[in-house]
Order: sequence, then C-alpha cells, then structure tokens
Amino acid sequence: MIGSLSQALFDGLTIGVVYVLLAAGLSVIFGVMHVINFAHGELFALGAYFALALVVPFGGTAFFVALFVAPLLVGIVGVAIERYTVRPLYGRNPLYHILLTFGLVLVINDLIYLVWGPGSVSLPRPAVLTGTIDILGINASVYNTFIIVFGGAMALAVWATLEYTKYGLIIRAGSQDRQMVRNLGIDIDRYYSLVFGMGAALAAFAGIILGGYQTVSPEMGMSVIIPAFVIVVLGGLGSFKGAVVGGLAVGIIQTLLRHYAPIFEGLVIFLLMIAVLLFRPRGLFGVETEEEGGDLLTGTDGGLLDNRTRKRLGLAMVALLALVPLGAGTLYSTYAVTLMIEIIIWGLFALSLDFVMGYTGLVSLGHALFYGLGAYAVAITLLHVSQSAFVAIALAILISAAIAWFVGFLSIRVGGVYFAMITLAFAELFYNMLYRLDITGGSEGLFGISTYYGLAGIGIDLGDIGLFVGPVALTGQSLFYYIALGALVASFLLTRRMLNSPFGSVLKSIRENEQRATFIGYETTIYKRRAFVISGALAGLAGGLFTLNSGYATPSFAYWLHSGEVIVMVILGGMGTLYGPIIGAGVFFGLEEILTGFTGRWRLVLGTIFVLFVIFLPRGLVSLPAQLAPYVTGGSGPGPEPAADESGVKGDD
Amino acid sequence: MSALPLLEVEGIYSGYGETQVLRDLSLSVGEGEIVSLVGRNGAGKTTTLRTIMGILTPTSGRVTYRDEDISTLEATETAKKGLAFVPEERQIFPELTVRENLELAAHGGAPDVDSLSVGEALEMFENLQARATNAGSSLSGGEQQMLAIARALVGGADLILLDEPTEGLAPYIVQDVMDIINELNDRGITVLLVEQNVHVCLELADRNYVINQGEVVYEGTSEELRADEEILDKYLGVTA
Repeated sequence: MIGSLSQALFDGLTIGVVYVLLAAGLSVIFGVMHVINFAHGELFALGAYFALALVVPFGGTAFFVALFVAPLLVGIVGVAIERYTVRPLYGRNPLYHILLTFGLVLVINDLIYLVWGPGSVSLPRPAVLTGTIDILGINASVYNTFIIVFGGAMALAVWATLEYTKYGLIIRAGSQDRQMVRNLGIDIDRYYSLVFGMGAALAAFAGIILGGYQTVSPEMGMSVIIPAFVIVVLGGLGSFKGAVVGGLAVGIIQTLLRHYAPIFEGLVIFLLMIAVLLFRPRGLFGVETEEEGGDLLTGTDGGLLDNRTRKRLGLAMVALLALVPLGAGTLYSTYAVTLMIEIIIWGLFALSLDFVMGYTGLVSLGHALFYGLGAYAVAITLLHVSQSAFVAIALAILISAAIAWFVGFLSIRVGGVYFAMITLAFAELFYNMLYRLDITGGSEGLFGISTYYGLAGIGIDLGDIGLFVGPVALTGQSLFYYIALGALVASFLLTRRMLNSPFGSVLKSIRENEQRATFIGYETTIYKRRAFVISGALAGLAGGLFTLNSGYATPSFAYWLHSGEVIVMVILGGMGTLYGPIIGAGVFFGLEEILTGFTGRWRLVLGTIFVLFVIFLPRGLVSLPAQLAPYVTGGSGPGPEPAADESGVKGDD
Repeated sequence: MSALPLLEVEGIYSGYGETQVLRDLSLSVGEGEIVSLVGRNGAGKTTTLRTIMGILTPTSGRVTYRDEDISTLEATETAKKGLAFVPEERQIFPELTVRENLELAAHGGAPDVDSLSVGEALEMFENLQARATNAGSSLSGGEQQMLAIARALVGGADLILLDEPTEGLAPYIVQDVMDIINELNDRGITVLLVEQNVHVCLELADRNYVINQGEVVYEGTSEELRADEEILDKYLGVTA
C-alpha cells in the first residue's frame, strides 16, 4: 500500500514537472504581455515532433541533441509568432489574443497532421535512460527520474534567470507595471519577443520529455493546454512560483485520483479552478494587474444599408433559404439539405453567443456547455421520459437556461479574462462528467433515439409524412429543415426585439462602458446575467435541435474546441450584429465543404483565414462592404439605396 | 527667468481619447529652476506632466527639451534623454524589493546624465537603506515617495517631473520630502513640480504657473503669487 502510494506520488511528480515547464512560459507570457496563449500546447507538441525528426534518423543518443536543438527551433517559431501575429494586436482588448492564438492552434495542429500524419509514435530514448533504479525503496524508472531531475534543474535555471539577471528583473517588473518600466527608459516592448520565444522553448522542452515518457501524437497539445490553464489560474496568472506549485499540485492530484478515485479524475481540477476563480481570482501567488483597455470591435459601425433595405434583404434571404429543400434530389443532392441544417443550427448557436458576447462584452469560452446540455437534455428526455420532440426541446431550453443562470450567478462577478477562464472551466467540468456518468452513456454518448412531433403520445413522425409542393415531396430531413429554419428566424426576431427594448439599451451601454452604466443606477450584473441566461437557452435549443435531427449526442459536443469554433464563426461574420454570426456559420461550413474537396487539412486554411481576420478585419465579414466602399468607384454599397443615409444606420442594431 | 530654458512647452493640446484636457498650454522651465504647476483637481496638471514625459502625445503644439523637439517621443525615449517622471501613485513595483526597484532603474534611464549608484542612493535615503530587502509593497507612503525619487536619481535625470509628491503624507514627512526636493535642486537637477498644496509650492518654487481648465491663467515668482490675493482666491481657494 505504502509502496503503491509512493509509486503514484513519484509518477505524479514526473507529470508535475512537465506541467511546471509548460505552465511557466504560459504564465510569464501572460504576466508580461497579457496574452492568453492557446497555441502554447501546440508549441509543446511541435517540440516533441521536432525532436522526433532529429532522433528517428540518428537513433536514441540523438535524443540529447534534440533536447536542446528542438526547443531552440520552437523558440524561433515563438519569436516569429510574437512578431508577426501577436504584436499587431497589442493595445486591443486582450480577448483578441485569445481569438488569435485559437486560430494558431488550428493552423499549427493541422500543420503537424500534414507533416507527420495522424496516429501516435514513440520517441526513441537513449539506452542510458531505460531500465529502472532503486530510490528509497521505490523501483523507479530511470526515465522518470531523469524527467524529475533534469526538468527540475531546468525549472530552477528559469527561476534563477528571473530572479538574478537583468533580464529577469526587467521581465518581473514588466509583469507588475509595464508603463512604469517604460517611464524608467527601459524598452520593455523589445523583451516581448524574447519572453514569447523563451516560453515557447520551455513548452517544447516539456513536450520532448513527455514525448519520451508517453507517446508523440498530434493531439498531445490539445490534451495538455487545458490542464496548463488550470495550473496557471491556480498559481496565479503571471506568477512563476504559482506555475511551479500549481504544476506539481495538478500533476500529483491527477495521478493520485487516477489510482484511487478514477471517477473524479478530470473533475476535481476543474472544481478547484472554479473555486480559485471565485474566491481568489488572482490565484495563489498572482498579483493584481490592471485590466487593460481596448474595446471589443463589433460589426455595426459603418453599415451601408438603411433599415428598410436591410429588412428586405433579410426577408429575401429567408425566402431563398425556404426554397432550399425544394430542389434537393433534383437540382442538387439531398446532402445540401443536411449541410444547410447544420449551418442553421450552428448559426443559431453563434447567434446565442453573439447575444452575450457582442452586446455585453462577456466572452464565454465555454459556450459548448449549453449546446451540450441541450443535446443531452433532448437525448435523455427522449430515451427515458417522453418521445415527444416538443417536450424534449422545451426541457432542453429550460435546463440550459437554469444552468446558465447558475453559471452566470457565480461567474459574472469576475470580468474579462477571468470570466473567459471560468466559463471554460465549467464547460470542461461538464465535458468530463459526460464521460463518467452512466446516464450520459460515457464516451459512446447516447444514440438510437426516436421521436415524434406531438404531445402525450399523439403526433407524427417526420419520416412518415410527406408534403407535396408541386412535384416535390417534402419528408423527413426536408421537413426538419423548416423546423430548424423557423427556430433560427424566431430566435433572431426575439433577440432583436429584446435589443431594441430598454433592456437592450442597457446591454449596449454595458458593452460601451460598464462603469458609466453603473453610475446611472443600473445593476449591470443582473442585466448581464439575464443576457447570459437567454444566450444559454438559445445555445441549448441549438444543441437540442441537433440531437433531435441526428438522433445522437456525444461528449465532443461540449469539448472546448467547439466553444472555440463558435467564437470563430461570430468573429468571422461580425460580432454584435446578430445576423453576422449566422453568416459566419455559413462561411465556416461552406469553406469546410469546399476545402475538404481538395484537402483533408481544411482547418489549416480556415485557421489562417481566421488569423488574418482577427488581425486585419476584426469587425468581421459584415463590415467588409463598408470598408471597401471608399475604394470602389462611386463609393456606394451593394444595396439599391445610396450610402449617404448614415443617420438611418446609426440607430440600428 | 534666470537660466537658459531647458524645457519649453508651446501651445499644446492633449488629453485622453476624445477628451481634450489641455488647451493651448505653454510654459517654460529654466535649467536649475524649481517650477511649480498649481491648480485645482482636474485642471490638467498631471496631464501636462504625462504629455511632457511622452506617456501622452499632444494633438498639437510642441514640447522642446534642450532645443530638441520631443513632442512625439515615447516615455522610453524621453527617459533616455534625462527626463524622469515620479508619478502621483509613485508606482513602486510592489513585488520587487527596494534594492531591486533601484537596480531596475539603473538598467534604464539616461546614459549621458550623471547618476547615483544603487549604493549611493541607499546612503542618501537612510530609511530605505534599512529596508533594502523588503518588498516595495511593504513601504509606507513616505518611504514609497522617497524610493520613487531615488529611482529617478539612479536612472540619471536632469529634469524631474514630480507629480503631487506630498499627497497623502503626514505633515512631518511633507517637510522631509521638501528637504529632499531642495537637495536635488542643489545637485543641479531641474524640478517641475505639480502640487495642490499651494504652500508647498510657494516655499519651494522659483516660479509658479497657475492652471485652470487646461490653460495657464497666471505666471509669477513665489513672492508675486503670495501677494496676489485675487489669483489665490479665484483659482486656488486660498486666502493668504
């Protein structure tokens, strides 16, 4: 018993050291530059792959060479990333860095797939690092001992650099008060590339030693980035000491749980993260830093069309969409309807996020939580409660709204980056629960669901009926298409109506300047929570509709990548417009559809496009006409009305 | 004005975003002088210092230092030319020790200007010497003010921009700070001082500028200002 406990502690320490190296860079980068670097995990993976490329041709002993060369190369990649993508965004809201680095995750991850292919490979270790040795009665593997000793020494070296060198002093000062460092005549901005490069190199180093311990796979970055965030939040954003304590703690807790209480593995760390964010947002060792300015850029400014034209255009779009199923099977394959349903559902999901992000400035990094809740609520209702689609959807909306109220109640008191982190934690908590509970079907999810449209056992199955429109028979999917389209249009009208009401004015005032909204007597927290509940309910509706149509629900619905994708859609289309995110969803899936025809690595292209959007067109596609207008002869937009009527646009949503 | 003009501010407009705080503000500071800017809250005193330092950029007008246009330079560059800003909140690095705060300043500042070494600064400020290994956050208000001034000396400064150095300090410490400012001046350092406390200005400064709503409304020596009851009453709310 004692033996197995110390063995588990030893294993936990091994992973803990890897986490420390990974989280240290992440934390210092945040401290100095206020950049939340989602791509940190991919740099970690890149380190392992560079090492692989060096070790495989030359054999195990090249491992030691790789241990220094690969981090150096990744460090250079890091410097390049800072200089060409991160740098243009300084001075903007820190949330744009989250978006940017999320785009970089897609790009780097797909590059790894492209170059090295899928599947996991093992990184050959040198012969001296194999076998076991006896330490204090534990039969320890030499490689584990190597990780602890060498990784520990590396962390110590970083600590000494930060503590005792000129660079370290400047970096530490920079993470406390950047402007004052500048006032002293020190060009802190010149150190940014260095810090980013060093952080990347440390991550790469961690990736290599973990690669030798476990295996090297394209998913390794995605699987460590979330724990890394947990560590950074626990220890305190910006604190090196925090990264050390947090890294070791998370490594050991996770390993102990896996041994003794596997049901809680993956749950406890997120509960801890939520608790820390609620009660001590600056973490164990963090310093209070000033929340840096910069507004979220919405797509509304400088619209070209007046209200009436816009309404007509909207109606025309809906009419056009309504025609889609009529041509299925004749003009184009029935797959078009399936694709369009997906776009509509994700359009609704993106709309729900925009309502809270684009109008109150709350960036939820865990919106897939509500999508997943809706999906599972429908699945569980249909399997265990009632086969009525109406009952299932109603429950999906109610449950998502209730959980959104609860999450909002706890989270909205913390702002900015901390809110993003806490929503991420809730979503990951739910995601991990889905794997572990019986009622959610574990990793398989729930499937084989059937339904009817009606109440109390009386109703119809969409597959059993057909509506004849001229020569075309609408049935099954095609009928569901109208249900989804109806839900989207209704949600759009509902949210737009809300935004044009006094409630909407308060929301917009919160987005513009929350403090001033408070000064004129609005309790902004309550308004933000209401918006969050509505948003959660609509996201739940989207998830519910998906399961209703597809007949299954899997844990991946609540994965953080989903939360990221829906943010991509919102930004792509144009935040704060309601219709922009729907267009964004259409473009996202449209691109995927076109690109998959040429390459399996469509995320690479999409990620690149997204990165360019964040840098050059942060107001999204819907702002494109207004931005291009001055360059087009005549200067007027695509609409029949001249662009002169600016005053009519101002008051629009 | 007795000495050569070291700093010349000519008709600057400056502010935050769309809010203009300074409107056509002009002043000049001669080498070796102590010049004060007095005025009520919100008059634009701090904005003036921040604009001179380069934390803010004037939308129009010119700032010249030693006959060189520094209007568009950022704080990092003006510091290298020998300007030092001691902000109202002092902005001591809370997690660094007193010694580290000074060492940091030694890595920056103006290379061409005479400066104190960290050791000399600690000798000059005895109460800092005793707390050299304590964290910046553990210092009292007066100690923080001393450290902020010491930091400017370690970096090397010809012109110190002091923003409300006596604010929030106990009266007997105010006297200490005033002594220090005089000592700086004796060392040949020029001081541009922002104060709400008119008495501090009258005692320290060679010349004073009274500013109101972003404009200079009065300029005069301390004797002249002391005698001008109308100005004292109208802009500073003091009856002499």
